[in-house]
Parts: sequence; C-alpha cells; structure tokens
Amino acid sequence: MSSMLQPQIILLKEGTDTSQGKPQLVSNINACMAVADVVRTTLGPRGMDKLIHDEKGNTTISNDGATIMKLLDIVHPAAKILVDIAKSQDSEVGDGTTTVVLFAGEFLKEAKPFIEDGVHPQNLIRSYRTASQLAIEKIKELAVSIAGKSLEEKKSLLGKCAATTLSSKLIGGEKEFFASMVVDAVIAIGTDDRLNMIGIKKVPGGNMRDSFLVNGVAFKKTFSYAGFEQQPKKFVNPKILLLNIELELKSEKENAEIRLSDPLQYQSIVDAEWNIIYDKLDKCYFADRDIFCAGRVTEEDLQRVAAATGGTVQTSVNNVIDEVLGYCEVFEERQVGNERFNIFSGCPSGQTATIVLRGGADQFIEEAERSLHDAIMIVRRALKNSTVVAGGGAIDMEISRYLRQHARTIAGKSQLFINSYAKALEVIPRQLCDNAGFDATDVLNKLRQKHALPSGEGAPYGVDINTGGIADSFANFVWEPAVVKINAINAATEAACLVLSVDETVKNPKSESAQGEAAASAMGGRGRGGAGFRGRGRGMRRR
Amino acid sequence: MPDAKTTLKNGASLALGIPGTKQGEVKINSGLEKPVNFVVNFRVKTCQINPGLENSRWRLHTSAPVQLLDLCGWCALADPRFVWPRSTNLGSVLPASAKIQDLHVAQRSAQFSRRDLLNFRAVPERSAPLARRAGDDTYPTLEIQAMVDSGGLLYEEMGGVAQLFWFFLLRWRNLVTLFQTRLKMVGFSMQPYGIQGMLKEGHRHLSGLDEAVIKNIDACKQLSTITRTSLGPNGMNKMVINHLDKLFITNDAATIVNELEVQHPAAKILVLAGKAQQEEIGDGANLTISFAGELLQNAEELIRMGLHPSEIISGYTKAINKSVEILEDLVEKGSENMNVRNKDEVILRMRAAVASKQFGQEDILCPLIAEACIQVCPKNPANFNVDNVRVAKLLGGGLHDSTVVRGMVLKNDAVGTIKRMEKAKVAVFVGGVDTSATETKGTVLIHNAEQLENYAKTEEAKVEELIKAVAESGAKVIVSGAAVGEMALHFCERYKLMVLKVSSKFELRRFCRTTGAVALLKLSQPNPDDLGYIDSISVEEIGGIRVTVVKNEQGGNSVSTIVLRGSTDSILDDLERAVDDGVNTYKAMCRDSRIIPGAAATEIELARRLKEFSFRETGLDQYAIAKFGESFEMVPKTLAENAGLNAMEIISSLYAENASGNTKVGIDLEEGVCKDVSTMKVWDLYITKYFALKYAADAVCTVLRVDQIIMAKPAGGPTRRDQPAGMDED
Repeated sequence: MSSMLQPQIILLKEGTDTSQGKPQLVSNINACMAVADVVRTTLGPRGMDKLIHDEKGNTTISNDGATIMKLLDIVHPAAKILVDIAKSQDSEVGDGTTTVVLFAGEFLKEAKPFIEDGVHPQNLIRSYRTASQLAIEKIKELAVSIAGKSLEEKKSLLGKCAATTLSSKLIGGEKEFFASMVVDAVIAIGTDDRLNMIGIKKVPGGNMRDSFLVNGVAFKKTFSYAGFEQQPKKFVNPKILLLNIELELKSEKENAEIRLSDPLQYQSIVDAEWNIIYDKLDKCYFADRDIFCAGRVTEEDLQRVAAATGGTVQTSVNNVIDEVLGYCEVFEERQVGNERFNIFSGCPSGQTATIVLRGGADQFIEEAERSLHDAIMIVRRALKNSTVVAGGGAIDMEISRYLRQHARTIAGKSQLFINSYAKALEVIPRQLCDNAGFDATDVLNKLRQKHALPSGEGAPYGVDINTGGIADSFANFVWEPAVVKINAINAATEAACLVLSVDETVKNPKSESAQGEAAASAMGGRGRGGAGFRGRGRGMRRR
Repeated sequence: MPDAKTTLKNGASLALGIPGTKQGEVKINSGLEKPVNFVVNFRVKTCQINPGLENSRWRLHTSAPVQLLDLCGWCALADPRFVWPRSTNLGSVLPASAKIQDLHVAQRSAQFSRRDLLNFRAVPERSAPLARRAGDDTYPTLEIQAMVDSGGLLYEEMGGVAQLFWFFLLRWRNLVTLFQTRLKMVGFSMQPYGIQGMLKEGHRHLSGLDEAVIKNIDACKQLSTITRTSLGPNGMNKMVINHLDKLFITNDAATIVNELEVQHPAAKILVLAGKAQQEEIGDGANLTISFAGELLQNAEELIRMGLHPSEIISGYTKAINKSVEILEDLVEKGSENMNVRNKDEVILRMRAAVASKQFGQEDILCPLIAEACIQVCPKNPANFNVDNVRVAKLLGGGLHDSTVVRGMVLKNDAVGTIKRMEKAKVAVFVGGVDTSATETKGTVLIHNAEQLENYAKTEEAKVEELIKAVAESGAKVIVSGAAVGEMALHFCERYKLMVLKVSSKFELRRFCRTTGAVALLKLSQPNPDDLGYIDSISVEEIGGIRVTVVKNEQGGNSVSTIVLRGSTDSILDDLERAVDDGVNTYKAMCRDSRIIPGAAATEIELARRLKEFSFRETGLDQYAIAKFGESFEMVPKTLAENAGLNAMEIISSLYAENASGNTKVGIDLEEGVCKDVSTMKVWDLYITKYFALKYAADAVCTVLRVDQIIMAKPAGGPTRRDQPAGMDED
C-alpha cells in the first residue's frame, strides 16, 4: 500500500488520453490531408476509380467522393469531420463531394506551415472565414442565371450541367445520352420534387444505350398469381386499383376463435369462409375477367404508382369508389433483358419517372446508379437555384485570382493567409491536370495568365481535358450549378476552421462493453492465479 | 513506512522490505490495461545476513501470481551454495556469503497485469531449529540492498511505438532505485497504528498543507488550464471523445467538463461550480472555472509565502464582497429598464454571450435567437421558458441558410399521402390511431357463420365510423402519439385527413402547446374545444431530410424553432450550444436586465479597485485581497493570448486607460487594441458576471478549507487489483 501514501494527482479517469498544443493540431491536419489524398485522384473526367473491399466481402467500385468516404470507415476524430462534410455536400447538393474534401484538405495543408511557424490558429480562421465570404459573393456575381428561359432552352442548359457531372463518372462516355434522360426525368416530376419519385431500376445485361426512361412507373414483374398466363399483357387507358392487403385465402384475425356446439354448424362456417374469399374476389376480378394483377409490389413502387396514376392506396376491398382509382394511358408488360417489367406510362399527374438502367457487371450498374443520382441531384439544384458557373476549374481560378487581388489591399498577416487560401483553391484545376496526365504547372500558368487579363475576358477559361491546354469552359458547355461551388467552399471552410480551432483532444476510456471485457479478463486472470497457488503445496500469503 | 521506494519512470513502482512483514515485494505497475510480459532486473548491492547464520542455506521464494519462467539471476555468483534453479517457482537457495556484489535477478516472460505484486521471501533451509537456537535477538535476517537495474516489457508483445519507448527505457541504466530487503524470519505481525488502525483497510488518507491543500490546488489548476484556452471569442475548441465514443468539438466549458469525467475530488468542486453557473444562468461556466483556477493558483503562492489557508479564505471572502459592490457600481446607467420585446436591445445584451461561442457568426445568430425568443416571450417575461425555443439541426447548407419558424419542425415525414394543409384544425391523439385493443389478452368467440362473415366488415365499419367522427368535428389534421393502423390510415385518406406521427411524448406536448390542442387519449370524436389550429403544415425537403414544418403565427402559440444549418454534425452541435447560451441569456435578462462593460473592461476595473482596497486592510488578509484582484487579470490575459496578442502590453494599456478614469475600456480583439466598449457594443449581463464570480469564490474557499482527505476503499469491482485484502484466507 506504500504507493497509496504518495498519490499522484489523478485528475481524470485512468485510461484517459489527452493530447494538446501545436503537435496535436499538426497531427490532426496530417490526418485530414491523408484522407484528402485518398480521394484526390478521383476528381474530374479523367479521375480514377477506387475499389473498396469491405470486411463483409462486398466490393464497391466508385469515384464518388461521398461513397468512398463513407466506406473508408475512418476513426480519427479530426478526419471524421471530412467524412461529415462529404455527406453534407451529398445531401445538400448531391455532387461535388470530392471537391469539398479536396478543398478542406488543401486549406489545412496551406495552414500547416503557418501553424508550425507559430501563427495563432484564430488569426488563420478569421482570414479563412473572410476569404470564403468573399469567394461566395464572387461566385454569386459571376453566376449566370437560367431563370425565365423557355422550356426547351432550359432543358438544353440543364443538360449541360448534367453532362458536366456525368463526364467525371464511369458512364462519361455516354454523357449526352444520360444527361438528356436525367433532365427529362427531373422535369417530369415537376416542381414538387421528391427524390424518391424518380426510380432507378437496374437490369444487368445489354449495354448502356439500352437504358431507357419511362415517363411513369416501371417495376420488375412481381409475384405471379395463378392464372397469370391468361392475363392480358397490355391495356390502353386502364383504371388502376392499389391495394395493400393480401388477396389470398387467409384466416381472419388471429385472436378470433370459433367455438361450435353443434356439429351441423361446421359446414356453415366453412361456407362462410369461402364466402369471404369469394366476396373479396368478386370485387377484384382477375384473369378470367381480363384484369391484370401484380402482387407483392414493394412499398416504394406502390407509392410511386399512386403518385403517378392519381389513385390512393386502399386497405380494404369494400367500398371501392371511383375517385380512389388511378388512370394511365398505357400499361404493358415488357421484356427487358431476362426480366419482365410492368410499365405504366402516360400518367396523368406525371409526377414520377423511372430510369431503367442496363449494363454489364453488377458493380458497373451500381456505380452508374450513383452517377445518375449525382446528375439528378445536380439538375434538381440547378432547376431550383437557376444559376450556373463555368466548370473545369475556371471558376476556381477566377476566385483565386480575385482573392489574390483582394489580398494585396490588406495590410498585415491576413494578406498571407488569404493568399494561401487563394492558392488552395487552385487545387481543382491542378488536380484535373494531374489526373489527366497533363503538366499541371504549365496549364496552371496559362490559366493564371488568362485570368489575369484586365479585360476580364479570361474569366471563363478552364482546363481543356481533351487537348491538355486551356479553353473557354463556358463556351464548351462545361457548366455546373453555382450552388455546388458555394456549398463546397462553405462546407470546406467550416470544416478547416473547425479542425484548426481544436487545441486539445481528450479521449475518455470506453465504458460498458469495453470495460466489461477488461473486467472479464481481470476476473479470469485472478481465477487462474488463485488456482496456481493452491497447486503449489502450501498456500502463499499474498500479504 | 518503506525503507526505500521510488517510482520508475515508466510508472512501475518498487517497494521492498517493509519492516514487520516477512517479505520484500516488487510492485509492478505497467500502466497498461492488458497483462503484459514484464522484465525486472535488479542488481543486489549488499547482502547481509546476521552473524551465526553464515553457513545456512537460504531458499528464496517468489510468490508472484505468475510463472517465473526464468530466474536466471544470481548467476554472477561463484558460490556454489547459491543456486537459482532454472524454471522453478518454488524458490531457490541463497548463499550465506556476506557480500554479494552482482546479485542479478531477472524476472522474465511473466504475465503481469497492472499492479501485480511480486513477492520475494527468503526462508532458511532449516528454519525451525535455527530460529530456536538463535534466540530472540538474532532473528535470521537477510538484508539485501539492491538496485533496479532495468525494467521493461518484453517487447515482442508490444506495438511499434511502445517498442521504441521501451527500448529507451531499457537503456535507462541510471534509473537507480535503492531498496532494501530485510527479511525477518520469525513471524510477528505489527498492528497498523494511528488513523490506519482506525479505518478499514484500503482507504486513502491525505493530510497536511503539502499533501492535501497543495495537491488539491494542483488538480484544480490542471482543470482550469484545460478550460482556459477556450475562454472568450477567440477561444480554442476542444475535441472530447466521451466514453460512448461520441465526439464533441466545442469551446463550451460546461460541455467540456461534463464530458471530461473529472475524478479528482477537489477538481470536482470546480466542475460543480461550473455546472451550478450553467444551471443558474446558462452561460459563463468557463469564467467560473477559469477564474476559480486562477484564484487557487494565487492561493498556492500565498501559502508558499506563509499564509494560512484560513487567512486566505477570509481575505478572499472580503474581496468577493467588495467585488460585488464594485460590480454594482459599474452597471451601465439606464440599463435596468429594458423592453424584452425590443429586438435591438435584446441583441445588444446577447451579442457577447453568443460571440464567445461562435465568434464571427454572432451577427447571423443573434437576430435569429432574439427573434425566436421574443416570439414566445409570455406576457410576464419572468415566466419565459427556455424549453419553448427549439432547435432543429439539419445537415447541409451553411449558417446563412438558418431560419426561425414560428411553430415546430418535426424531423419526420407525414404518414399518409397528404403532405400539406393550410389553416386547418388539428386533433391530437396520444394513444395512436388504430382499432383499440384490450389490455388483457382476449379472444373473440365466434358462434356462427354469420358472425364470421361479418367480423371483418364490422371492424372496418367501426374504424370508418371513428375516423368519420373525427373528420366531422372539423379536424383536418390528425396527430398520433403512437402507431397509425393501416385500416385507419386508409379511411383518413378517404376523408382527406393529413396524418402525422409524433412518437416522442415531449414533442407531442410541445405540439399541443404550439397548436393549442388538447391531447385526447382515445380515438373518438373530439370536442370542438379540444381541437388545435395551425396556419400551415407541410412536408418539406431540407438538405435531403424530409421534415414537417408546422407553423402557427397566431397568438397563443408558445413554441418557436430555430432551424440551424451546417456542414457537419459537430458544427451543428456547437451551434446548438451557442443558441442555448443565447436563449439562456435572454432568460437571464428577463430577470435582470442590467449590463456591465464586457471585453475585460470590468475585470480590469475590479482588479484596480481591489488592489486599492487591499491597501486599506490591516490584517494579513490584505495579501489575499490583492491576489484576488490580481486574479482578475487572468481574463484580459487569456482573451489576449487566445487572440494571439501580446497579453502584457494589453493589460498595461488597459490599466493605464482605467486609471485615467475611463472604466469602459476593453480589448478590441479584431484590431488588437484597447477601445471603449460602448463603441464595440460588447456588453455582459450583470447577473452572469455576478454569479460566475460568486460561484468561483465559493468553490475556491471550499477547496482551501480542506486539510485532510480520507477516501474509503472503493467498493467491489474487479478493476482494482492492488488490494488483495481478504484474498489470503485460503
């Protein structure tokens, strides 16, 4: 017990980890940079994909930043922030997830030498915040509005945005084809846009070009009932009844019990049960009455059909009135690949669209689905906010130039910090070049020269991914919605500031499960020890 | 008391040879959670055996609860009588030689968990006859003076970093520990004396200035150094990962100390003071803890000067009373009357509190908070309930997109297909909207075919009847506290009723407050008086999350919601804490609206006046009062340091300004100069400062009053293994 008499000061629970000061800040920055390095190479049309193999044995091939970040399973607390912003970008905008992580990584990278030189992080944070506000204002100023254009024009403009997004994905080769499909789908669901009203159905086989858009609902043929073969496969202007109950012979409520005193009644009960079934069937005529029936449709598809056809889902077959029925122009069952699909098209309320996606391997279709999701989100955002900016790193270069110019008007340390913020923004064109195998320095210098032209005509110039030079992105229709960049810069700056503002990490020991294990092993150890003693001839006193 | 004892650099402690006990022991504290292989090498410097026993053979036992695989020590000895048998744990024979220079005991490959005891004892080969012959004054004693040669983990078992660490440690040859083993071979046991004898075994007892007071102060200082750097608008954040693996990134002291799981009893007093402040005012917890830490640090200096704690306490008490007087004096004239419904006045008072949490964003946050608070402020502002201002955190976007909704934002979708409704009446049902089932398990008995046929139909009809009744009462929206049955939903759709499910009881209550509805227990036709009213209810998609926005602009609505947007969960959590602080400040200003200059202006003035006051005191406590005043410098110092400014320069120029009569000069952190706070509009609430100082002083006096700490042995639990008391009864 001697050590008890001279206690050390134990402020916190044993097992608590603390680290503080500059080294831990630098280590946080390093962790974030490492994460950014992982997704770095996926940026842009020439970006590479990542294959992620998780512990369950699932393989995912993707170059979608958010997907990769989610699957990386990051435990470092600071690096987790980057995962969060990627998710946030994904939910808010849907695309630009790689960009946001890259930005955050680059901001921190630029901050690192300053921190090492002893600059107080708060000074950096303040400058970064100012810079991000300036940058966002500049983007808003440069953005081109597409509001008030005619539908046709709008469609082609939105198509450009979708194409820009898609060009960086696996299905970039067919970007025009898919872009128009995506735009049609988004326009179809109208103003009250709900993402789950656009269904994406994946059918392996065939090729990408076999994919098609249904202006309505399509789903894989579901459970087949008896007599299904006789059912007609095509209707024009059918009425549609949606039910979410089983149309099968099923006992009534479980808690109902039948007790009979008179054996003669037995037959009447059996008859009654049959009557109930007949009753149900009477109301829903099947094969023999020329009605098509699809059973066990998933909830999601059912909702979509309801929205498309204007019907309401019924829980009872009694009292079916006309207004709960839906309508559509054509219903048919069609063969797609080796699957049969039920397709409702020409729906009156037209608030749904379904994209049937074809392609080779499973992973390929999965990735294509993610890409389409990104494109759909982009088009939705563009439609909502109606402003676009030039892509291909052009907007980043322009903001970078603007900030550098602005920095020169500031006296004091802030000038340096805003300058490095501006430098960090150049990471997008630089990475685009790196990924495409161009000489980044060369291209960047050309871009800088263009953007520095006093007339401002160089503003829309970005990396030309086809020639390895520079080109007017705006004229080449490399467009992206302004909101993508605004949100990316905002989120990345917030994340960078958050990482910079941390000066101490305290990690408490895990409770419950972790401690339970330790306790168990301690008990085990003691038990073994005790048994060992007894085996030794005479009991050892353990004081 | 042990003859010699030291602590290894790695945390392993050694204690050998406690008189009155029969064996020496090596206590190993590896500091690691798992059992590890541990090597202890020690070198015996001298070995003395009482005269008369030189020729006896000794058997060395080790009672480690482990296998001693290789007791390869003693090997340097040429003496053939001294044999350490290899791979035995039963003991070995010691030589009776008087001088053993290179006794070398290695304990290798033994599994130790933290704090295992490794006991050695030496027993003469033929102890009984020897003892009898030797008589009382010549107990067979073996005195070994040994030093720890090296100690370390076997490093195959460890990870890379640990290996490196131990590598250096094993090189730490100079880590000398002298320890003495005296082995008295005749068993006699000594009763513990003093307080040891009075209390149950296993307690901890600390007393005296050095052991109790200074140690307590040290612990509190450690705590306040953690919180200090978070003080003020430029305060740094802390990343705290709590025991459930949840990550907090915050500079809110109340949250930090809450999640830190402080163990030290004295430091806990400070934590409690911080919590009291948080509960009383909801802001200023950091000031409480940091200021208390500073007071204690200065108290330590006073103790070293020779003051008795009781003198310090009396001085501090006088000083806090005086400070409160001065504080009253510093209150801005005309601030005691305010209109709590005037947004500008509210923002003026809230700004500093919010800015200290979210610097640079207070201009966005304050109007939002002020608006939300004013909306729900009851007729008598003193009854303001902070629970009525809700926060909905939605990932995505930025702070600029945050809004205030007069009503509620529920984070779930409507149940049915009807997603929006305007100017509608609302019926609230707690028990769920479904066919009611009995509590006891019952069975429906069916007697004949007719009943069976009608069973389903009547059930349907019943549900329809109920829903129809609700619809006829004029309600357009049904809110359910539990599940909504499919059948019921079907009829709700049929009667064009919007259905919403709110599963949280508290949310449901707030919903009732928002709409003025009375929650009904059972699904039945509601009384017209029980119906609530909403201006609009709609399902919207914000940042990929579907939320139901319930708005009620009419009077009678007592709930408003601030919708916060931010890019990460941690940012949102921190924003929420800032909002909480703001709302609490609003509550505080409803009670007492007086304001005092912020930005350290008040603290400098307090420091200056207290120093003057101390000169007029006659007793020794004038030192304590002066130190109390000096402690206030901590605030401007920390503010300046956190902002990366030169603290000394700032403090001296603040003093200069104050001495020349301008008591409202504080630090302008943006420009790093001293400025009049009325131009910067940095005002603190009087009541916040008052309670913060009061709680800090109280906590400090409590800590200083302690001169003894007695800790009982923690009850049970398998985690503490260093007290195997009661285990030896085998």
